[in-house]
Amino acid sequence: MRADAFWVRLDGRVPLTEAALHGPPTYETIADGGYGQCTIDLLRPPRHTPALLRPGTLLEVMAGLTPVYVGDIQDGPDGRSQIAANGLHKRAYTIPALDPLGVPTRQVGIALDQAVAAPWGWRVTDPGNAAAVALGTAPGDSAEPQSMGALLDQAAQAAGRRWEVNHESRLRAPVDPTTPTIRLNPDASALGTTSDGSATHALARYFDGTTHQTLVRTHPQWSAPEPARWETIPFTEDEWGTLSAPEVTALLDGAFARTQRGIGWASGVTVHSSQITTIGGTPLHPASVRAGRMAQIMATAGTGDWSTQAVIGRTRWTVGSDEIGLEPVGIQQRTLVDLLTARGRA
Amino acid sequence: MQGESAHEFELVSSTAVLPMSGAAAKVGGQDRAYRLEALTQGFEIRPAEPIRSVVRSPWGVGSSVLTDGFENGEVSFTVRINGPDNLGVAQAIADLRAMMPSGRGDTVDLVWRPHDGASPAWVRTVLAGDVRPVWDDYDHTQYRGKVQVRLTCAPHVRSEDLVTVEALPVGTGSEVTVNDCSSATGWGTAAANGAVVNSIVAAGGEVVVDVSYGYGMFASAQIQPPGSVAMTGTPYLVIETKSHYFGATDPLPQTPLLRVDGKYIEPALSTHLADGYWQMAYHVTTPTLPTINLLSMGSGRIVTRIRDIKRTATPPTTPNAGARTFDVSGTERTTGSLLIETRDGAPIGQAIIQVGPAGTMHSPSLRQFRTAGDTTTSDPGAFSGSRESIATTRFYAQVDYAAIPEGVYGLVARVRSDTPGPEQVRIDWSIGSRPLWHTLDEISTGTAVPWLSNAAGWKIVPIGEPITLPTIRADWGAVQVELQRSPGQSMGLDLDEAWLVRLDDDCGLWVIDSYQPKIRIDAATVVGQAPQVWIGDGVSWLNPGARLHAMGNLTLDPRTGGMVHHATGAPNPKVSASYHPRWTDEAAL
Repeated sequence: MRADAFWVRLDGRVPLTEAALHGPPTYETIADGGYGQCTIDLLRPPRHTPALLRPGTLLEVMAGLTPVYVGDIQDGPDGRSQIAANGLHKRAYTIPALDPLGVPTRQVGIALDQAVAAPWGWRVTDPGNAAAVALGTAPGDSAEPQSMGALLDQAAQAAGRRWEVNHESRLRAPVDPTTPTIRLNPDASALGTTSDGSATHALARYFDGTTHQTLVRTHPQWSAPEPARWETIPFTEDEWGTLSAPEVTALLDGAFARTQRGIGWASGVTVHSSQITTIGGTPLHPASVRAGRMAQIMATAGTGDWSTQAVIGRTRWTVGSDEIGLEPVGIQQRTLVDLLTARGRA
Repeated sequence: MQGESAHEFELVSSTAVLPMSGAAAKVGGQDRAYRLEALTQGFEIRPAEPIRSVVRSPWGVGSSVLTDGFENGEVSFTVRINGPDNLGVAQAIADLRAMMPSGRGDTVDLVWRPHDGASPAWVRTVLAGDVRPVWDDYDHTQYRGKVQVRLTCAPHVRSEDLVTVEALPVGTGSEVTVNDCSSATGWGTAAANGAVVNSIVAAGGEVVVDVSYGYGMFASAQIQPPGSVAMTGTPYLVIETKSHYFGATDPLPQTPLLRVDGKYIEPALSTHLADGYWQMAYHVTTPTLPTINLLSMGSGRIVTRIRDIKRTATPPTTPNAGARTFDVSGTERTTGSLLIETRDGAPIGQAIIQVGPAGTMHSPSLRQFRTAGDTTTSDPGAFSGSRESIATTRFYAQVDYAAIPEGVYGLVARVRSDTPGPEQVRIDWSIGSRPLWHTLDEISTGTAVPWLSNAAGWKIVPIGEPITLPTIRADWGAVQVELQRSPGQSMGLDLDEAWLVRLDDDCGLWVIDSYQPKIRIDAATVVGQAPQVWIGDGVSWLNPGARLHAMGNLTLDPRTGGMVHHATGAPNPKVSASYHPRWTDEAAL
């Protein structure tokens, strides 16, 4: 496969070919954040780094007029023959969540207004305040300064959503789909299955303003006689401040909703484009496969089910390649602690 | 035969020509005294190896194999140098060394001129090369030398001469009805490859042809309106037709194809009319009306209605939008240049140009498939010829599967808003599939947020992310596209045209604003030049800079031919292309 319609755009206007001849970009889409890494090999490293290739420049992989990857340059070539970009969501973790007076806030809309303005200049928009309204306010009342990214993580968890910066540099707060739009054929790969690390019960420790409380929630898909596995989640005062029992319940249920129970992928798979189709059976072009969508994995022999379903957490594709790498959500964040605490997200 | 010179080729760069046949070399405009001869012995061409990806399937007998491209080829040979003196030998070695490309964009060609003096020359593009002198004491005393040359070449060979696809002419004659299809009297029919013509009758002002097609893609039925018709002054033959299964009413994507001297020709333009008919325009080069062939795209009993056949001077389209197809010579994919220019030298304005393989009925414009929406207003400034508001009323289009070959598409729309300052206008979109006789399903929806303003006027903007279409595989059906301003906003929002832009292999999209009369698109070349887009007046060219909104690479495949869809701010532009045909080995043109 080749890709004549694909090109790389810098700063929203200039083709990368104006700065250097380059190879095909390899880019990731991710369910949590929108876009991951993008690396591009340059045919020859430029002798000096043009201003357009300096860190912070907007880099888009384009399919005709439509971006399929949006990020900003992290590492310019600097004598090496590769440039690397990362999704715009990454910048949120280097920007504080403050209100107009410079005081830490837990309201997403207020913090976002400051984050996109000078001096922070986070390059996202939220037309119609759709994402800010969907995410609302992070639970708890901690007054400790934290990053915009951490605030979005907390608010998204409490709302049972993910957050991402999409191909239009727009902040979005999508809910995981419940119906699959992608089908993986049975010959795609022998998918490893696992139930490692998926806790059946969560034991939360939190501060209710007076004392430290304990709250236990059970995974909705768990039933006896499956052995119970519990996990302790410390909601620290530093990170969250005071929480109420309903808030903690919402956080735990949101985390359960985003972890796989039973058969899941133990590892990512690399599939040929002929092995992955729409639910209607049309072979999917890799450029139209994006993380956050739900895949139906047709059963391989011995699994006992017709099919299993999983939300795609990460895709990796080299433009022009016939193969695309897929990972389900929850491969990197296996445990609830990873999902719910800053330690896990670091 | 050792030592006999047998090779009629030369190495050519921008400054030097080194013939390997014993003829005089010319470097920097000066004749050299030495003579070069390539020896038969040791001459070797290692052809380009295909790059294949192989996928093992548990179901198939073998594996699936795809050819992704080709490795570079290699040519190696030994050159005998006859210098008048040792200085001549040294100069020859130096000239050969200087001929090897640096890899910084200079072009060196190996041009082969066949012995017969009449067959076409062919060219291998040299990407890198080594020169290795072979020392021989005795040769040295005889003022002779020997050098081994090894060249890394781009895969395949190309014709020496550029092929130019001329812009389609505009005739001078006025529109003439060839046949109004009110009577079937005198119409001739013939069937081929398993097709059976059941009947040909006139009904309701149409000629109705009922054909049972056997299995196979190329079953065809030939129909011939009566009389010989001269095409002078009106090079376009326009046929309005639609097809459906016997007993059904839903339209089928069946193309009436023309056959000229045994060769099928593609329609230059296929437009879907609001009442479900396809209007096919063919550019005819013969002096009289050629045979019309109905080509089956599947098997079964299919009824084709033809309601009008006429000949015109220009393709019947809105002046701003057009399309053309052309054949591509050679055996291998090649790259080329495309030139779009206004006929009167006025600026071309905004332009959207789509290039892809021909051989399908791919037709990206959505207005021709519109099924519902707000009141349409005629607008000469609109690419589609009319516009409508999508502020409160939803725009619907149902695109025949025939017009969207299976693949990946980007939805692009030309819209304008009356917001005073630049604002992100939210536009809801929805794309789903409706197989024939089934309901709409597998729907994707989303919201696009293009920056629009009253001052910016019409803008061509992307809507959503690339999507694989049709989302449901079926023999026949339609993809439904919907567009509407999202709720909770109050600005006016007009839609001119929307397109499903094909993004597969060999397809490219260019969106450019040009205040110049011409746009030139150059493909990437094998010597490491990136694709380029130029605007200009034909004398001086410049990079469009921030006026470039989308670009791709111009690839032409001889197996499919090329198809160009264009819509521009200026009416009826000339569209021409040029390329070097590429061949597996030895050019036939």
